[in-house]
Amino acid sequence: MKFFLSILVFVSVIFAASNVQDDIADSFDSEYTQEVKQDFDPLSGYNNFMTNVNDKFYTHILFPVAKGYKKIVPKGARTSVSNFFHNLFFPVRFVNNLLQLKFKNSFEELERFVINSTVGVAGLFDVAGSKMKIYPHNEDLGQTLGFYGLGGGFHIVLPILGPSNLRDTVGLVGDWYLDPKIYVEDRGYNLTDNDTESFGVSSFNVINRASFDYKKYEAIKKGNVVLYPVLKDLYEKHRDKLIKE
Amino acid sequence: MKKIIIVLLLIFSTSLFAMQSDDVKSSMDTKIHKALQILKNKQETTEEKAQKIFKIFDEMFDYNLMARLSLGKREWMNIDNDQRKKYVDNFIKLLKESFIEKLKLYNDQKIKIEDFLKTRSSRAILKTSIVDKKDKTEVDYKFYRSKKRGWIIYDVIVAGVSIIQSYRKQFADLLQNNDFEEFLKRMKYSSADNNA
Repeated sequence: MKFFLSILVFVSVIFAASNVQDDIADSFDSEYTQEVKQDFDPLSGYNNFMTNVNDKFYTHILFPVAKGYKKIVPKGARTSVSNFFHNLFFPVRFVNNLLQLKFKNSFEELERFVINSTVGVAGLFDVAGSKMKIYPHNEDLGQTLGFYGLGGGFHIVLPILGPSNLRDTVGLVGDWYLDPKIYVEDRGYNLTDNDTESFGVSSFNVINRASFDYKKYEAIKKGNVVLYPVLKDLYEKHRDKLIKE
Repeated sequence: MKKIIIVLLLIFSTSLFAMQSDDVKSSMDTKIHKALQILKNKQETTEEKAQKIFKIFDEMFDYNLMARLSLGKREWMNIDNDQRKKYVDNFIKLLKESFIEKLKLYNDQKIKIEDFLKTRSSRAILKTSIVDKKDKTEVDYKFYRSKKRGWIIYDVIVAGVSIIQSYRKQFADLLQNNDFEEFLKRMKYSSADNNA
């Protein structure tokens, strides 16, 4: 009798365990099926293609240059270059903070610009951040449009620049008018004298940034099987987060 | 009387080693601490460190469920047991390779364990964050309570992106243009050929 009972318990536990696995999985499926339907991606063919083209560009051109640059130029110097360009981008952050009525933030940006441009030697050193704990408030036109309720629109993968969307691409073009390193005629301030120099300067910035960021990109690429959906998701989630703050 | 005791013992013995909810937070804390110690060791390769870390964390993950969810119910039902086994093996390999790549980015960041919140009686989220000099990246672990193993992980959400959701999209993409056998081959990571 005891023997029979223990066999019964044993068999029923085993049986229950294997069936439960299927039922458990079903109860989770509903957590995941909803998100997939919301994807509106009219340019998906082009976006996939461009992701591939960009990937080849990064792998065969940009990253080799950035890695070579990284070998020659010590991290401190590269950070200073990064700081310099970050500081230069002040007008964009300043105006967009104002447009979003973030007055305290725009004032802090102004403080940062003044301190870092003077004490921080033309922006090479982030004195305001490291010594005075006055931190950046990154805003751009895309975020401003998002702040006022404009949805991102469909996803667009830009050549070289990578993931973007309809709203942020418009924002990017708008920001060019404020960006000192982009040459704009008849504007009061310009870092360079013509389009060619401007392109050179921008390229330098891209290479410098790549020397810091290439590892992250390679880690994302190697951990995944199809790259485009991953980059798209990361981008959109990141932008949503930036707009909220 | 003896029979009752035996039956009761049988029932409760399965939950003896299961993780109770208060334990989860402290258990993960301990494990993460151990993992960071391993990572700080300059002598070993990333591979060696990763294998040690897997030994510590394997018991916290329900790899089978993660694989099943990443494939989706329809496809899972369409394939036979042999294919399922191959798929799960490939999936676990992909998941672990992906993790090893992320480990290479480790640069003395700190990991903060924030909270273990129950969302339902058998579901919970462990909120943690990776703190760098300037950035803070949120990493959430979704737990469910399994009868046999207690609280175990079925999804990880990094910076708002669920890895199960991400793999679902990627696998759905691949399966649109390839049959299952081809898909099994292409599941290997780092394939630019898969973007087409």
